[in-house]
Amino acid sequence: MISKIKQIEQRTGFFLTLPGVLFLLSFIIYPLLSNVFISFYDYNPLHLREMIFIGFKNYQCLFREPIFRYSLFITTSFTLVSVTLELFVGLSISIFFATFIKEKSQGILKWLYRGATSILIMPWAIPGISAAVAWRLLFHPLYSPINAVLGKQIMWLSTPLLAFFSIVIADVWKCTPYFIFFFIAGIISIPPAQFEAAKIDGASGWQEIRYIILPNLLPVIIVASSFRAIDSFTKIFDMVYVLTGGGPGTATKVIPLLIQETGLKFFRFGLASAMAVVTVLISISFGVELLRRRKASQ
Amino acid sequence: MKLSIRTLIISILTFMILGITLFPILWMFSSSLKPEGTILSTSTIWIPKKITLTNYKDLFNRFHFQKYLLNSIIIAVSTTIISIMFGVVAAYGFSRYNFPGSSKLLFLVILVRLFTPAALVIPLYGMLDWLGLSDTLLSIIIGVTALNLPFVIFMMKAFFDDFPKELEEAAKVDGMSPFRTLVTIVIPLSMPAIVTVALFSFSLGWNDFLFGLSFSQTIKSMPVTVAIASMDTGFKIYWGAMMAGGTVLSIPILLITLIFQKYFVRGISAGALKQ
Repeated sequence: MISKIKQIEQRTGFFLTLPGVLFLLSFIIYPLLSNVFISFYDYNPLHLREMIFIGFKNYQCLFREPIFRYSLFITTSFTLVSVTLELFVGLSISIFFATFIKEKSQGILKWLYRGATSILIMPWAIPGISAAVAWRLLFHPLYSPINAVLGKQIMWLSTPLLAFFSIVIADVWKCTPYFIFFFIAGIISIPPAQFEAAKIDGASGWQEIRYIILPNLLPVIIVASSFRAIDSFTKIFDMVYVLTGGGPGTATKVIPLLIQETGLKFFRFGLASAMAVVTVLISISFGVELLRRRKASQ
Repeated sequence: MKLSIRTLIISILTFMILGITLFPILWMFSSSLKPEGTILSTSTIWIPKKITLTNYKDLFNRFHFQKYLLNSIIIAVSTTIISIMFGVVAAYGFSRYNFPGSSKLLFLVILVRLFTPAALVIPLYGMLDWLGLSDTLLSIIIGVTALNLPFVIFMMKAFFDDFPKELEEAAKVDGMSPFRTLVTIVIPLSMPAIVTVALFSFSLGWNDFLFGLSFSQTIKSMPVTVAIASMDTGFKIYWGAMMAGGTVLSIPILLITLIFQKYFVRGISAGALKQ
């Protein structure tokens, strides 16, 4: 009897999850697996010819041609530089705003804080393409208002290094709010008793940050930066496409852009799939390692 | 009211931070109101002397923005509806029933977050083409939904795990079917979480660029994002229309964010903190 009820329950659960799972199987798992399949073929859908089995040639091509290795390198550098900057800027701004929250501020500061949170969320919320075109104008080689402020003539998007940092700047602007909202939530949840105790002991503001806020925030910092790092590595696309198109030359050709272009601009499906397979393997091993460490630390 | 020096310093710093935050958005908006010829100018003009709506008129008269807007609305709304329909029910199933493989499936759901969407584009393109869906809105909707659904399941499962089970047990005693319990009892009480998830789904669909760029070839299925990016033709950049387009594209999202800020902020942190 009990086992029968259990069986019915299991069936109910199975049927509830079925539509969603079927959707994921057919439009995520199946395509991703077929990537592996396509990567062993020479396949150009524009040439209306059959798929030709070429074994590991696409993979050999990947590691022979420097572009893929370079792209991995530039995407990793971009992730490291921009996430580190976002982390530090986000942390500073959150701690700065925490001074408002902690004091249960009144009057001007209270309104300032409310207004500030509404404005700070905007860069994160607005569509990537809106942000990208806005920065495209700000980085205009001749008429950049940033140059007007700096009083220098910087050709933002024209050299490889400057183009890289232009994308970093735009990305830091867009994604720092992500950290800010994480950290403010984290700081709010610190028990007020800790701050009161610190006050009684005569701790300075810096000591409060060093011995109360940072230790309490550490788990949040780790979670937020790993999530952001994964997103940055796997999802950087709009900004680069609009700002540099991967250029100058191939200087800022990040992985997602490289895969998309190889596949749907040059229609080298086999090669693009091989790139996708390698990239997915890299990000999965990174993610699995992360999950394992989190489990180990808990 | 006493205005201490400390308050003054904090206020000035705050305004500086907010100034930098708003600067690109305001500059885009201000430029969209300038005549095409004066957008690119060596002098920094914040409020144009002659405000013009030509750029916005051009969007609709020359660039057929009404059609692109309609496409984007259809994509965003359909993504939201499909994701919620499939995602909420699946999350409930994962949360309440332990059937063989349910733990593995959830692991899979988490792993999907780790893929680069570009890896999905190439095989999906071939598959949708084979299904006769090339250059359709549906192809873009499927792509965005596939990417969004794991997130919806993940968030809703976390919510259902904390949901008190007593109500459902009472319904079960009364002989209510699981599906009816879900629809008449659980869903109405889960509205805050569903709103959060719906907001994220909508903005993912509205903001999508990758799938739109990859799957749509003509105006028939092209979303606003792709239309704006194509205003840089490689030979000439239509700055005025581009800035106006960027502004129009961001307005609905900014409105939604400001109105539902509470839900939005919750969504940012809840996704990662609750695991």
